[in-house]
Amino acid sequence: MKLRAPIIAGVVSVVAVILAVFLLVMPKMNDVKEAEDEVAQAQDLELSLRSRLSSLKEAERNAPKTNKQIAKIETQVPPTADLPGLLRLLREAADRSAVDFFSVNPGAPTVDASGRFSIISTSINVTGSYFSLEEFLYRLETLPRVGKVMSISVSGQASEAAGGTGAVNLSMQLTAEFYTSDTSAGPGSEPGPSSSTSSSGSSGAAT
Amino acid sequence: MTQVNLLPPELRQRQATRRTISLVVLAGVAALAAVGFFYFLQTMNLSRAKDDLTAQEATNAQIQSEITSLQEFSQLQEELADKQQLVGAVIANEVSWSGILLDVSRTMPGDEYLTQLTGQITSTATTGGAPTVGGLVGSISFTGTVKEIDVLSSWLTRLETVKGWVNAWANTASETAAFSRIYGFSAGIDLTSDVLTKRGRGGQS
Repeated sequence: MKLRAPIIAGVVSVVAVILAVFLLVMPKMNDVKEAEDEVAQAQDLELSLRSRLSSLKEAERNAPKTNKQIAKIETQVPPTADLPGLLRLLREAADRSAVDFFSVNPGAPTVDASGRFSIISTSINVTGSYFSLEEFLYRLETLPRVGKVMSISVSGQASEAAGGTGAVNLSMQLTAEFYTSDTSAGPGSEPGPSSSTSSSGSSGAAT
Repeated sequence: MTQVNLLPPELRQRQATRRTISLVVLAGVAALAAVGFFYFLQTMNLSRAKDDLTAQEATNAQIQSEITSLQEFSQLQEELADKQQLVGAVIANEVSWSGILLDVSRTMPGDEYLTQLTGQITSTATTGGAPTVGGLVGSISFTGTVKEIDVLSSWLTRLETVKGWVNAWANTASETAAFSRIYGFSAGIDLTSDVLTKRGRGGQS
């Protein structure tokens, strides 16, 4: 009986302390932990954002160079078929390599299996000396516009018939592929570049 | 001197009990005060963490707005990468035929001439971009005339000395007239990826 009151007081105190810890302190600690986790996440996000920003600033610094590269690529593979430009390039290559005869038959553009570009398969016939033909091929391979010779056939011609000089005249038929990023090119197609091939500063003529 | 406590034992007992209760209650209050202090500290921590979070979110929002304003340059990079990939695809398997003609002229012996040369490369469209059998990318066939069959044999051997030229083969070699020792022939070679130009192999020019 003598100790009952102190024991009750002690139990009440302990219960009050436990209740205070469980009902006040621990929820608050949880809140603090959650808030600190959110801060840590936000700090991580800042790191990744800064990294992205840094790469974007680098891209901004390199933008003139990037635009030049895009312009160069659009010369190699123009956004439209630009047949007039192609014909001029081929004629110039023929003139500079001094071939005797030059004929060109561009085929209708066909969309590549990947659907990303069109192929203009072009038959070209030239006649001339071995060195003229070799020079013509070289110029064809180094055109500003990408051209790929897929097949070649070289045969001799009767030189006496062409003046009797004894010089061997050769005839060369070749099939070359030229390309455009326009997947709807050629007669009957939708004019202008394909919408997917956004061009920055393209000067190609629309088909 | 002897001290005599005249308080009755019940009162003394009650006083002792009251003292014990007071001590227990004091201890309880001290513990509660400690808990309260800890709660206060946690509240301060929470407030500070929330301030930090707000500041961090403001920083992130500012960086994000900078990123948004620079987004066009990211699109520019993507456009370039896309176009580079396109050029890589169209230019794959490119062969320098002018170089091949030079190589043919270098290997030709004096006692032989060609009447026809035909060559082709495999279109990447037909292979779907997949490597061809044995790494072959094309072939060349020759038709011509040669004096003595040994010259033809030597030439076939010399053809294979050119980098990327393999499988030299003569399909026919027939004497143009009895005892003439002049042969009409048709021959051919296969081209491996070694004949591809640098950009045709995947390296940009």
